[in-house]
This record gives sequence, C-alpha cells and structure tokens, in this order.
Amino acid sequence: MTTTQVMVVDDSLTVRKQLAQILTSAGFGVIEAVDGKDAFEQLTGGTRPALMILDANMPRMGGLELLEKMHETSIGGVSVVMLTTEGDARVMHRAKSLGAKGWIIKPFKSDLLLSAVKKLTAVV
Amino acid sequence: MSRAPSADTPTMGTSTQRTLTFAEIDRYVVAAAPSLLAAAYGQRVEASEDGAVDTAKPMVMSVIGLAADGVRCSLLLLASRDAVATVVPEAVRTSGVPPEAAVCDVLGELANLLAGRVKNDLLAHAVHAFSSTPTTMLGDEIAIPVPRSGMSAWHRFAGGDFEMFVRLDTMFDPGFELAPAEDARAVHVAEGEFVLF
Repeated sequence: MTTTQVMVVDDSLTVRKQLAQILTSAGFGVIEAVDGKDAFEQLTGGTRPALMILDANMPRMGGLELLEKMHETSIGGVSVVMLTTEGDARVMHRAKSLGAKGWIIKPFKSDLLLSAVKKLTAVV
Repeated sequence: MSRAPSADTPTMGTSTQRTLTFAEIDRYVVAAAPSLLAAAYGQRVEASEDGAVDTAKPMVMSVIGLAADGVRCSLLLLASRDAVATVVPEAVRTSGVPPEAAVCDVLGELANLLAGRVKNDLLAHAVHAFSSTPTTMLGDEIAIPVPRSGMSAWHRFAGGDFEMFVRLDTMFDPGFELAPAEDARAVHVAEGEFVLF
C-alpha cells in the first residue's frame, strides 16, 4: 500500500518540522516546500501530493498566489487546507473560491490538524 | 480605517485620540504574547514591568510590520539566544537544523503569530491590515533601532528561563480613528480549529 503524501508549504522551518513529525508519526509521507514558488516548481515537476497544507503569507509566492497558479495551469487532484495566521473572512472566501478545502488559524493543535488531514485524504 | 469625525461623533484632541488608539493596539499585544507562547511553544510567561534588555548577550531579534489604511505598526521581538533555545520544539532540535537557524526561525514564527493575532484583533475595528514576513537576525551587542516618530512601548514577558522583550511601534495618519470593536466584524474562528469549507 502506498503512503499518502502530504506537502507542507511554509516559510517557517519550525512549522514544517513540527508538521512533518506529526504526519510521519501518523503514517503519512511528507514533502516540504519553503514557499509557494518552491511548491509550484515541485508540482510542475510532477510531484502530486494527496494534500497540501499551505501557509498564506510567504516570501516569493504566497499561498493564495499559488492557488491561483494551480488553477491557471490546471494542476488538480491536490486537496488544500490553509494553515495561516489570517482570520479575515474575505481571504478565506477567496481561498475557498480557488479550491481550498479548509482553513486552520495558527497556532495549530496537533490533534485537530491530524484529524483534518485524515478527513481530507480519506477519499483520495 | 482613516476617517474624519462626523457631526455625531464626539471629537477628541488629536494627541488624545492617538494615545487612546495606541493603548488599544498595545493592549492586544500584551494579551497576545503570553497566550501565543503557551499555545505554540508550551512556554508560560507573564508580562512584567521589571527588568531591562541586556544586549551584551548573544541575542536574536525579529521584526515584522503591519500596514492598513491610516495606521502602520511594527513589532520588534528581542531575546537572548539561550532563552529562545529553551522553547525550540523537539521536532526542530532533532532535525539537524543548526541551533542558530533554529532560534532565528522560532522567534521569527513567533513574530508572525503575534502580528497575525493583532491583525485579527483589528478586524473587529474594521481595520484590514496586511503583514510583512518577519525579518530575523542574530547579533552580539545589538544596537536596537530607535523609532524617529510615532508612538512606542516596550514590554517584557518572562517565565522560568525564558525572557523576551517586545516593542510595538505605531504611526497614525492625521485624523485616523479606531472604530469601536463590533462582534459582527470579529474573527469567529478559534485558533487551531479546523474549518471545513
């Protein structure tokens, strides 16, 4: 049985390493990207995680911009949950319109985050 | 949100107005720092009036900005590297990341969380702010930049072996007023809670 892959896109290595530890302990494979540009390059290079955990505010390319580029280039089959400090409903609606499936405001709670990941990868 | 007082709005002297607005934003910073340190890094701290910054130690500093119509803020976080090292998560300590990179990133992410919380608190006042990404630096005997204008306040947060200083700097455009907080505008999603669209 193949391991379900989750891509963690965040410019904070603290967040990436914490999420990697939580997810690998739960049996997921983890791919890291340091920002939206890094993630987009990996996606266009053929990487296809089942789920992306995506920060909004990052250098070079932010989360919403990445969602727009994924939409423009028809990169599909990747569920996205935003993990961000952003709480503005307008930004949430924008992300939802671009295909995001869910939202978590930082700081995250490990159990709730893992529950969200399992829910969003269950049908993939 | 910048607006001129209307005929129905009691007018205040500009200096008083700025002081009250600054105090409101400062209150959000003082409330946010301890709760975020506890939630993100498991470190309990309290705001303290005692103590002074000793920059002769190896320090780490992170700065992040917020900008909205009529108001601009920055948050400066300052701590010794030894203090921040006590809250570096185990996942980072065991990842092979160099210790200095780890303390930089931990403080930078804390600056990001703090700016995010203040930004969300301001939504209730109809202030839609953008935040920068944090800039973090290491230094020995850091010379802390002195704000040339606007209003500033330092705060110390300490608990156990951890101590951190936070400075809030703000600048307001003439006539800027913070609208009263309204629940309808507030963020109703709790931190950490998963919202499924």
